Amino acid sequence: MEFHSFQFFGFLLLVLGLHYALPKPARRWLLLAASYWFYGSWDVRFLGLILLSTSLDFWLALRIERETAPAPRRRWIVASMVLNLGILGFFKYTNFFLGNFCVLTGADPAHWLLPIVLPVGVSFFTFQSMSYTIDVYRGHIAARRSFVDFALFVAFFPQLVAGPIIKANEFFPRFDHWRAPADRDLQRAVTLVLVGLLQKAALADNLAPVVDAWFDTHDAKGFLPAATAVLAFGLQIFFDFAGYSNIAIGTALLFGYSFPVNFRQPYLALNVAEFWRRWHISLSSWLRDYLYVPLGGNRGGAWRTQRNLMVTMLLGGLWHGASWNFVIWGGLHGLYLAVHRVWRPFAAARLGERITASVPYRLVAWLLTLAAVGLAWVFFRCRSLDQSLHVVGQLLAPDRLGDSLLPLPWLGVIAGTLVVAWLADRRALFERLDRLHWFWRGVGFAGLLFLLTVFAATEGHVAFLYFQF
Amino acid sequence: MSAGSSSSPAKVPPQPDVSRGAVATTWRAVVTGLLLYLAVELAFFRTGLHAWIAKPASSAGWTARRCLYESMLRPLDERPSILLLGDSTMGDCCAPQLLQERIGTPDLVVRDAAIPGTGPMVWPFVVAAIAPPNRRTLVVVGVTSFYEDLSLEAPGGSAEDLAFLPLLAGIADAPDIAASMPAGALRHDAWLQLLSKTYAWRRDIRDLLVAPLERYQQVRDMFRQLRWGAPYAGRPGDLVGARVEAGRVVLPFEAPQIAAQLQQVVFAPRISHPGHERLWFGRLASVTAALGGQLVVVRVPTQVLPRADGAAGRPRAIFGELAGRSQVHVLDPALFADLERPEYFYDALHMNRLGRQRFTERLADTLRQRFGAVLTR
Repeated sequence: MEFHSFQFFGFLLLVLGLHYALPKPARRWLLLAASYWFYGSWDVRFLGLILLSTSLDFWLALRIERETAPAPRRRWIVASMVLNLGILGFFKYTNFFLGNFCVLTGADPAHWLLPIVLPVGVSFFTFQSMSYTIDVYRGHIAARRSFVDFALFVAFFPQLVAGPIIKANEFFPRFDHWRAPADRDLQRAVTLVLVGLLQKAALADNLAPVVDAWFDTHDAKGFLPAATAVLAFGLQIFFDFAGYSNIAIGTALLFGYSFPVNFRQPYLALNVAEFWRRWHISLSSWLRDYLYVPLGGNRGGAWRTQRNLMVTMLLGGLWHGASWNFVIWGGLHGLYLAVHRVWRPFAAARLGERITASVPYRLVAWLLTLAAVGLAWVFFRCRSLDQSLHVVGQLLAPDRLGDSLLPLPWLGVIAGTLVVAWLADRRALFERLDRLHWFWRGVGFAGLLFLLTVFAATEGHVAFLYFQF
Repeated sequence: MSAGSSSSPAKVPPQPDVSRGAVATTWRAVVTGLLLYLAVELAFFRTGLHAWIAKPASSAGWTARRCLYESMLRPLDERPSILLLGDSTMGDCCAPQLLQERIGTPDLVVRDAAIPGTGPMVWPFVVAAIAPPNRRTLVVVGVTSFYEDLSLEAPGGSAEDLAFLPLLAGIADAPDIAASMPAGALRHDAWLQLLSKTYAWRRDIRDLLVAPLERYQQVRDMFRQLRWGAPYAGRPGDLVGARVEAGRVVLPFEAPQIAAQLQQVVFAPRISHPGHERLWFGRLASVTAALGGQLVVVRVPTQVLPRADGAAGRPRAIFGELAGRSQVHVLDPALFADLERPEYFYDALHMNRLGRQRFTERLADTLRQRFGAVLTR
């Protein structure tokens, strides 16, 4: 049951209706039941896994809180880490390691690889669950006494299968002080859901055939086909995932739960550090709080900071998928961040603020950031290292120019999207829209619905890309 | 990755007080949005207004041309009339003007309503859209698939059928149309198209938004052609010399596409969907009967080269059933068999100018003999 399906909207309307019809104490039960139903609709076998993970983390958090001495507390948090990373490792990485073992030893993969099905959303709910036990261990939050509360935190259906990854210390305060959504929230919720659907169904899914056709066949040779295919993929994954996140945040808001924004116009970033403050914010802040900072963050000198950045990004890459391509993708971003960290003080000292704040400098910085991010997307999208190197070869050493894969109307859409993103970023576009009279907001909703009806790609179903992670 | 402090206990963000009056403005906006969407749907797409600027070369554009523009320019009325129905093979093999002259009935109007790519699912809607009640109406439907080698009970509808229906079908037709589609995405799509005309016209709207000037020129040129252009006279060229050698179709000239199509004509099994045909030919007979007219089923010549197995095949069950209904006449399928020769075709399926003339003359003679009284009573 995906967000861009009629089944989901039928389900959502039913659960919303029941949610507001039921007395408050029953609502948590309803949402938990609905969330498990939603998760079971993917594959009912995985319900056992999420229940097991939830039950054990619930119990482990209580044990951590009960213990006062550091050693047993550490023992229980290690148990929680082993549990969560064990689940993630088994389902996601077993065959990756076995496959590499086969390559190294020449063993027959048919005898070694296991028939493992990756449970949908496992990367997201294990991280979310881990954040809870870590926060309890750190003393940032109290362990929950109610299993239903905790189970709902792990399984809340709007963000269960592909995030945003909500940290326990963000979720429970809102949960404990729940209030019915205000007018502004409802308006934002409806807008987010419609915009998210438009991003997914009209933009990402229409780019998908262009991207898939080129990456699967490489029929068109030359720099322009390669560059436009990478550009198209960069846009596809953004619209796909940002669309999903917007629907998730909007849906949660309809129930009165406010989740932090997950994307903030990432392709307007002027450097890669800024890109990561704008892209998949819930993951990057999770990695910062639960990996980078515990590794030492920027507290141990320049070299250690660089090492911590690289380790964080490599593991962040591996989190996305069990493939060396994702590791390289993470490694490239680690390298970019390291270079940026060296360049920033150098540029400030040698060039001065007058130049670094100038339009030409910012334009070059923007284009360089886009190019660097785009180059990394090649490894993210390609199925193998060979294929990635082939694409990179076309991008970096073009023997001929070729033709753009994206026709003129698409370039217009991209330019329009950048303008809207810029307005949203610099001119608080959405805050201004919030203040519009309800009639004009209605006109806006009608426009979004019309665009969705006309431009949604209906020829072939395209699943949300982040479901595979 | 930017460095930062570890997480700290979050504070609950201040939330505005909820007042029912304030909440209502969002619902007012949502309802307004839905009403506006419905208003556009009703004003432009359900009234058929958009069809006046439909892309002429598209499926929906062809439907609009036959059912809207030509009806406006040459409306059928109480005069005796013949409506020619079918796909592009019918459009190519029958010349309306020649048919009219050769039958010779005073005041007879012959309208070409054949639409390339259509099948029996579309034809009842075309008749309902074009023909007024008139006892002196003959609906002549040309069928290319008369025989069968095997039959399947699976639904016989396709996405191509759906492409013709935005202008013609309504919500009441949705259950039958959806049931005629293979289960899954196509059935779902049929429901969506019939519930939302905006959705049904979406490809046409996309094209219009991408190149509005081009659309304007296409529509203008089509209207000019309809008003002042010479009537279609058929295509030149023939397939003389086409033959089968060692299991392959050989043409006297280089035309791989025609050769591949001919290969199908000669060798591919002919598959029927009896349930689908029963429903939609039955609907066509009912619509024609409701007008007071007669339905005439004609087997259009398409067998350019004889079948490889030499067997004619068995006639589809539906034609036997139709022959048993009053006001339906299934003409002898061998009536035009001698026209199934390479010299009468310009490609694997369509008759050329000479074939068009021969077919029309014979059809006119047959209709005059058998239905002269109907047309003149």
